[in-house]
Amino acid sequence: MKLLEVESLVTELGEADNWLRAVNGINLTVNAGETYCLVGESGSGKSVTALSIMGLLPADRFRHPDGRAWLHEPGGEALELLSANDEQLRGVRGRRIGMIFQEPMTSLNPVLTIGEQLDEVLRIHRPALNAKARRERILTALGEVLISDPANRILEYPHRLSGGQRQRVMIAMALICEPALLIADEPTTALDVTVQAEILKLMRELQARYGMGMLFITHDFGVVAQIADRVGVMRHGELVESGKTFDVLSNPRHAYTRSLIAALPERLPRSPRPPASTQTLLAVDNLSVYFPIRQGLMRRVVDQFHAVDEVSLQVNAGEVVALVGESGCGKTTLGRALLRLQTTTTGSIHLEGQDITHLSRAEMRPLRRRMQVVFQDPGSSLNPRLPIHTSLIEPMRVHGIGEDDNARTRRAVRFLERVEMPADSLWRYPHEFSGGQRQRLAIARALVLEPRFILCDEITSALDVSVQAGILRLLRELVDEDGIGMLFITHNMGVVDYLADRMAVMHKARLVETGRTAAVMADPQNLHTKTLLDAVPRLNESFLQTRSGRAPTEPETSCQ
Amino acid sequence: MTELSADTEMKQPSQPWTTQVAVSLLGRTSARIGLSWIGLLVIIATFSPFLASSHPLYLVVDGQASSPLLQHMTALDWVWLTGLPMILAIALLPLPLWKKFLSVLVGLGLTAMIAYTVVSPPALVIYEQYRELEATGKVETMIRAPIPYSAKDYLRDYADTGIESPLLTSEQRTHWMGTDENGADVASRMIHASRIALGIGFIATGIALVIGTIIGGLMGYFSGIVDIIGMRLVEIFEAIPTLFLLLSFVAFFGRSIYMMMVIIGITAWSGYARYVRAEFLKLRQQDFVQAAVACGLPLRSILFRHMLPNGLAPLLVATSFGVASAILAEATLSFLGLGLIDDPSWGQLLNQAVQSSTFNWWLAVFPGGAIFLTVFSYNLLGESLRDAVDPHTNRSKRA
Repeated sequence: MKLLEVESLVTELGEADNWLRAVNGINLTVNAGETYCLVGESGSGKSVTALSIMGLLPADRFRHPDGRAWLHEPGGEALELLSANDEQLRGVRGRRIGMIFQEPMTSLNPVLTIGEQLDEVLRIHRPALNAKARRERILTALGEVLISDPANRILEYPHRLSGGQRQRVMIAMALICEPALLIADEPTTALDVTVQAEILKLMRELQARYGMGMLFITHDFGVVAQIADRVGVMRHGELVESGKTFDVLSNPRHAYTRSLIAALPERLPRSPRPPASTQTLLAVDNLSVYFPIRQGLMRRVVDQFHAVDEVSLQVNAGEVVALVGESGCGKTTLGRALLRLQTTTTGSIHLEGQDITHLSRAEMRPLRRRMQVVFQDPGSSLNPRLPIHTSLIEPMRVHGIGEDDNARTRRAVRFLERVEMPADSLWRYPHEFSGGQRQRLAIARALVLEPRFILCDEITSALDVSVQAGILRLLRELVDEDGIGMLFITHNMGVVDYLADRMAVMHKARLVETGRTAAVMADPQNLHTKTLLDAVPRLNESFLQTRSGRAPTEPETSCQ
Repeated sequence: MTELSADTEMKQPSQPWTTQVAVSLLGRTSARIGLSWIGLLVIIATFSPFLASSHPLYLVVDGQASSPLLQHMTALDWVWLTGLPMILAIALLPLPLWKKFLSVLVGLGLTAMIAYTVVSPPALVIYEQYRELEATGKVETMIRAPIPYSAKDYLRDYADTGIESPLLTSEQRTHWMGTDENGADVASRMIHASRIALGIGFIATGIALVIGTIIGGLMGYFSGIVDIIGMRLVEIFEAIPTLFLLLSFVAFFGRSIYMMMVIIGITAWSGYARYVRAEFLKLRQQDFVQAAVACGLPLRSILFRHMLPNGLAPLLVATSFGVASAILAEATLSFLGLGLIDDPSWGQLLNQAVQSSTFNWWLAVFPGGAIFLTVFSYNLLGESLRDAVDPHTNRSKRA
């Protein structure tokens, strides 16, 4: 049965005479009990499509020059959503269409308890129910999303819940009125892989139970493989390819789909590596970082929070070591401690044989040349007020590289070429570059000092998969050709697989497993490593084989 | 929705941030109104001796040409007159902002030193002499300022002087805005008082800004114990009632406009320190600051090149409101009768409006209007600056 039918949807955003076409002629159909995945890179118009259907775009800032979106009611009637008035839309939202957003941290109201927020939805859409019945309904809903002890949880405020639990509450809220259609906009992107796996499993189970249709938006082909019955690939506001998941993923017809799948890090072509060096560049012995927990008027230390606990690690020259783990496991703190950006509690750090653990700020300064860092967020990795030229030249001047600014500029240009950026980038400001370009510039800034060791803190996690592929190739070249040692912090197993020679797995501030990447991937020894690896949604041959015979509407039972 | 903002950001022109803010600021009507009034005030303040003075600009008596106005110009007049072109010239030079700022300070200091050593106007000023000369018919040529009365010319040669409404016309004299209780011309006093209004705003706020930025910056960057001590200091200074402190200082040490500027300055810095601290606390964790530390850059560069320009936006806004409140503080003090005695000030004129048994409307309307317009202009400027530097309001206006 057809549930949602979108016909040549066009959405333009802007105002007055300045309109930007965000969605251009999308056709899609979501059937009951089926999951339709919209996949595409940032800026492709996936979210705008969902918001157009829900009528949630900012008032007066959008228009639909063309297109219709029919929501079919069980009685055979259909509501046209794009031309529906606010009254009609309010009746549909929550009751017929549920929606889940990406960011679990901000999608719940922090000043209301979980129970009150769920109760409000019911009060509005199920006015017939009395307080007791509503409470019953809320408790069942929370039980369905596997929240333990719902009777107490409904009295709690959102900040008491973890990201995964909040997303479960969001799902409960979206499903509490048993909508026919659920629109989920990247619901698992902000979550850890293990939590993501649980949420995806839960969504599949609930869908099977209620026979909902689901419009699922994601950028991750692994997630598509896990959850979609049919998939549509979007680019620049257009649907370039759509079809059954298995067909599209195993035999993509459109060149763009092929390029996207080929850009997945685990599928990137690998060049032969030079022989590994045995020269130890960075050695960490029993390093711990504790944060004191202070209380009371005198701010006495009452306890220690163990962010990094007795970690030992080595990085050789010309080697990439990946540090993986869930969020909050202390991997970023460890990275900052290695660079002496964070004071350490115990343990020692040796850089090329020299103990740098207790050097003062001033003693550390000349050594900064030898160890550099590239950060995660491309939006803040470069000083927005300075042109690229200053960002690149200043560190060279401080470290006495190059005789004068002309020589330094020439050097900067050389490194810009190295990271495949044009020389005229020097005179521009960070806001003029895209995220991927900014990360390249941040890499160039690290490289101008010719460091021996580079720390990369999730540098590709905010980037699109095709941009990520380019950056990963570049990093691999740098390591292989210049013999730089690199510690790559990430949570993306595909990236680890492509880039890392060795990997180290962190769990709750401790290193639980280290070893050669291929060995750990193939045969994880530690339980946490195993859970982590199993949770990664993959697009691999085994998936394609197991899924090949599945009918689109058949309820999913296994969770892979 | 992040996709959209990325798109609009790419289209922005390749200009430094300061230029972008300036362009965006000048595009706003309210900012233009505010800036025009402040600009007008600056011009009036600079050229006030030429606009209102009892001394003729050019005088020929018995075939002898002289310029009493130039002879009677004080050192302060010369500092203003040379300062304005100098500031404009330095502003146009292609220098970094902090170098411009420094050269303006040095330049002003030098001109002040030179002016106060070289210029020595006659100590005894007799305003009546020109009118007497004119009456006796000895004057061959005389060019006077548009308002031929000095701020302290109490018109003693006219026996009947006192408080006069502008509607009261006398054959010998015209006072566009009437006279005050001493018989001085209100228009002239207001023109000369504009210097005090501008000066107290800029200097008091400047002092507060420098102290606040340094203390706030150190608190924000080092946090920990420095922050705790700094915040206690801020709280101590916030507990000081500025007006009462000013009153007691005036009572103990006499009346001096410079003392007022300093006192307003050293009590008003706490707000700026809070702003800078908050910005620095936020910026300290930003990746580009961490990267600057990781590059081994010196502390000076990290604080002033990488952090301060990024945390400047709220400070600029606070500054323009701060200028307005400093002007109000001086006006309040003068209104209470504890401001300057002889030197003109808007608040003091306002005070006279209610001093005598009748309500002297011209002493309320004109100085009150000037205070209102100036404070209003600074507030307009502050509001527009807030919109111009804030990317969120900026975007909602554009997209």
